[in-house]
Amino acid sequence: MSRAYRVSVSESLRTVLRAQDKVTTQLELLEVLPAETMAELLARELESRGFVRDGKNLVREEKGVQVTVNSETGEVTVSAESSRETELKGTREGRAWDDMGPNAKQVREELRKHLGQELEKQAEQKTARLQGEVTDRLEQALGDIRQELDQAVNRVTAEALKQKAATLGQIKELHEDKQTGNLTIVLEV
Amino acid sequence: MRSVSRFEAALLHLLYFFMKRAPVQQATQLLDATPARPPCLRRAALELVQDTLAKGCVSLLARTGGWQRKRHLRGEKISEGRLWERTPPSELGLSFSAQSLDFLVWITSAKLHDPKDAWQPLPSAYTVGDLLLFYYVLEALHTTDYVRELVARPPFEDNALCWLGYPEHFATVPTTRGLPFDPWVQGVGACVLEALQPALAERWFAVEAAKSDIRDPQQMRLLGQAQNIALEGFLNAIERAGRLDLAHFLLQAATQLLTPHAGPALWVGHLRVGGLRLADRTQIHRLALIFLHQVSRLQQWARRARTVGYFDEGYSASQLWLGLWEKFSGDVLAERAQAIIRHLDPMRQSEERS
Repeated sequence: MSRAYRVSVSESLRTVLRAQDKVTTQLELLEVLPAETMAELLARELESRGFVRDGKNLVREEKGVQVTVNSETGEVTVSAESSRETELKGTREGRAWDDMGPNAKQVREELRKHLGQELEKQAEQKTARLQGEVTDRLEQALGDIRQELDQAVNRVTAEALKQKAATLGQIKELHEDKQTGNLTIVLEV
Repeated sequence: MRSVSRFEAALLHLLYFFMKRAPVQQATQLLDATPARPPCLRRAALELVQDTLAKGCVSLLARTGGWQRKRHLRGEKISEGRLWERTPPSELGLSFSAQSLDFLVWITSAKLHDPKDAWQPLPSAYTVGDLLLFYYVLEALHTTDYVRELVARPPFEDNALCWLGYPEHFATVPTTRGLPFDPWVQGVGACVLEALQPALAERWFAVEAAKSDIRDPQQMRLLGQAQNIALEGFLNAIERAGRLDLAHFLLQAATQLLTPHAGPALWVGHLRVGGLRLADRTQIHRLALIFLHQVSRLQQWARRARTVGYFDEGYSASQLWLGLWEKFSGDVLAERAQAIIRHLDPMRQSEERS
């Protein structure tokens, strides 16, 4: 009488899960002064806020979110990424007609194949969860970054207006309302 | 009284349907039947085909928009009046090559649902008349099941006018080359486009308005990409040819869409983007609003037109475009378009939420 033998396989999958996300937008910078001057004013303003120059770009990384601003084009890229090394393990059992013979071998191969697919699926699910975390992190950071960049643009515009005004005549009075962002310049021409 | 064979009668009925002279029910019965293709057509049938094509296309063009008194460029000057007043009828002749006849014979006998039964174009160029016939065929069939099989094959797959009129049907048709819009921005092709302005305005309004029902992000992505291919190709061609007036229909469609109460919901109200990366969400939103993005290009044309002086080249064309832009309050439309685009900027949305 033939017996069914229990066959068991174990597999592990060591992998690095990666997730990244980014958004790109445009700063609306008025060309009060020539483009190169405006770019330089923007670069200096961003440097004062902790950005580091990298060619035409100004880059800052905070809490896992990187902000890159191209001072010439005004393009802003906000990105976040994450990677995590993980090891997934699993075991599967089946039945074969022999213990170490050809049937056991075939059953083990089938079990390994299905287990491998299951581990890959688990890896995909973990990657999707990691992706969700990265996207959430990015989304939460966007509001503050936008506010800060708007403030930077306002300061650059104000500085550019002051410089422009100085070329037109003598500044008699200059009043800046920091709360509303209003700038009043009285010129004698 | 002329007599034609059964096949020729079927061909003529289909042609009447394409020329909007027969109902769709008759046509679908004929399209489902697949009679054997005869070795040739008889003279009587050929003459009837010629007559129907000549009168049918002209009648359709006249009825859809040719009758309207409009202002369009003629050389360096602005011409006003109905189409046949702006251009002498002798210069409005449409010619049809053997391609048209061969296509009509094929579509009468073809198994349209069989992807292997594709029409093989003859080794000669299409005329404007041929291309216009294919456009009318697509127009006639665009609400039927046959359209899916047709658009991915010749002569529709790279027919620029078909892409411009029905971009939604080309969402899954790959194209690696630019669409050939040049025949439609000069000569009789440009006159055809002038006559089709009202129809094109209606089409673009319909496609944009239907976006509010789209839930699947992939569907929106493909539609936006197809629209972008058509619009970019078209706008580049008319800019090169100095025929900005041919973009009149875009301003008309924009006026209907960008009402004072228009908001992002009209485009992405039902779109399911939850769970997508921000990068993908932004790309899909951008493609959903691809028409609105092009309004800023039209505004740039208006700004450039304001700087063209009386003695500069292209003064009439600039004035014509400026006139259209101001007639449709283009600056107001551009502002509304930008407001909707900004509303979907993820950084602005986050700002409003925080």
